[in-house]
Amino acid sequence: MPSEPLLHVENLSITFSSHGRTTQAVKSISFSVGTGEVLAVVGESGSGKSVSALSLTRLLPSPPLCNIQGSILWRGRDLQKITEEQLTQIRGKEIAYIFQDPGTSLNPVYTIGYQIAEAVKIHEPTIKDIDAVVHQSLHDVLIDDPHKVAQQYPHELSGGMQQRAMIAMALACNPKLLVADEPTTALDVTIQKEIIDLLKRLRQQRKMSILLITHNFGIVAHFADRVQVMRQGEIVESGETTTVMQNPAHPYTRGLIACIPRLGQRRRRLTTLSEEIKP
Amino acid sequence: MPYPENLLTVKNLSVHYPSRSGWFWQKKEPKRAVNDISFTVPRGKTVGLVGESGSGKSTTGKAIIKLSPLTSGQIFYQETEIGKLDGAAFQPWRKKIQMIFQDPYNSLNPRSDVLGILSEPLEIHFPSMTNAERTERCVDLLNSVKLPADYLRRYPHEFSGGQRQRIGIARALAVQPELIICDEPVSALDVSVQAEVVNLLQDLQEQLGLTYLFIAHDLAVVEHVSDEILVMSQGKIVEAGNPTSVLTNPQHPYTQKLLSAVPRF
Repeated sequence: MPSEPLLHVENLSITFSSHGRTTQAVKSISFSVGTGEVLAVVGESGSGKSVSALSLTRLLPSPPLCNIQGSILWRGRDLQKITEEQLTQIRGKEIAYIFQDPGTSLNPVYTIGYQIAEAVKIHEPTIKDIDAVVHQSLHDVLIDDPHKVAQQYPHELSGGMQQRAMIAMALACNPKLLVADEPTTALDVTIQKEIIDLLKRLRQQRKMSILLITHNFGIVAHFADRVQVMRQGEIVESGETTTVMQNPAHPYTRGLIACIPRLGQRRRRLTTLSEEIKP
Repeated sequence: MPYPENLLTVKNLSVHYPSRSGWFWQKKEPKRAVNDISFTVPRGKTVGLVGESGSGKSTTGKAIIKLSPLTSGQIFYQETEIGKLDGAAFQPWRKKIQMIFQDPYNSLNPRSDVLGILSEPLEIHFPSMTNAERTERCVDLLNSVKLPADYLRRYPHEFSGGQRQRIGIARALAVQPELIICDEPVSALDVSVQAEVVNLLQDLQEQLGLTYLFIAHDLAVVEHVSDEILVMSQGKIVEAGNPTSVLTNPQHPYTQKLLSAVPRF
């Protein structure tokens, strides 16, 4: 771990209110991501993993619907305290996102090239030859024919190609942190492997940090430096990936790993979570 | 002739969809979703069907219960050729063959309570049942999928994904089927819920002697539940056999590629 983390989140709490009811989605969690580090966040639906990632750059509804407490230190600045204009300089440029379903995250009425160019124009207004940047970024995600893909619409591409286009868009402005929220959940295993291999390569080339949200322990084991396990808005366990995977300390982590059927290890029944540790 | 111990026999099944595009909607080469496949499903067993999206595995399941049109080939249920039956003639087999769908959010009617969802198949296939008998049967069904009886008056939006999938299973069981086509029944669920639903399906198989055609893309889940496995790619079955031997010693390059892509830990 480097001495100064890129991102340091301290006592983050997120509460949603609607119809007079309040739900605490995230309960005072703290974590950091170092430069060039891959941190995986695992947990079941409703554990607060996506919400905590979205809160980093104010992608959640504003108060009173949603209340965020705690500090989010990005390279020493508290993102909670800066103005919307200042945040725009960070969101998309320094911290970029890719989401689970590329089909619904891309705008269906604009070409891929237009959508990548849009991000570049906002964040790098001095660049003259935007087309060159667009084609280079598509080339970087191993798209064979960047000129053709730049002119295509999202519906003309397969799921795997759409996700590549999303990654190209996220990386066009050279972010320091990529938040990947279930980037391969909607994809076939062979495409999943290609996307994960691509992210591994890009991370090496650019010394970029990745906050990887997933529920797939297989991907965590092959990709993440550290992992934290969330349950009901709390981090129940965190540590080096190999330590957590081989010697999970918390009963919930142990239970979750035991639930997963594994190839070549056929059992008569699958293990389920016991009542005490169920979320 | 198909063997009677095989509940389902599929022979040279093809499903082609016509495709048109370009000037004046010219006819193009049809999309060969399923291309000349044959397999059998023995009574009381689980046959797993794996493949990637677009491989034709769901179309195969749908063709069996006539949700997809048959282009050519034969489908036998025991000795009866059900592939060529239509409309009312197929009705008795709709009772014997049921289906569970992937998405428990879209496969339950949001305007109907659980009693309504579970009663509908009973009204169609057991018209002589009285209301009281039907309600009693619905309570039994909820018990068999381990849900409390007071859920009868609740609506789908009140349930979690795992509970909805249990309701989907209860609906399939309502008409006492012999064969259930499970189309990605656990793909949308968290791993802990997935384990519970898989165990439930296996318990029900033991108690009721059910036969499953289990369609999924997760190789580990399919290996766990299946007695026999079929690997589909581009509308064809490329490899078939005992799940452990197919998945530990794959012969076909496609199966090898599929297996090497699974991240293990």
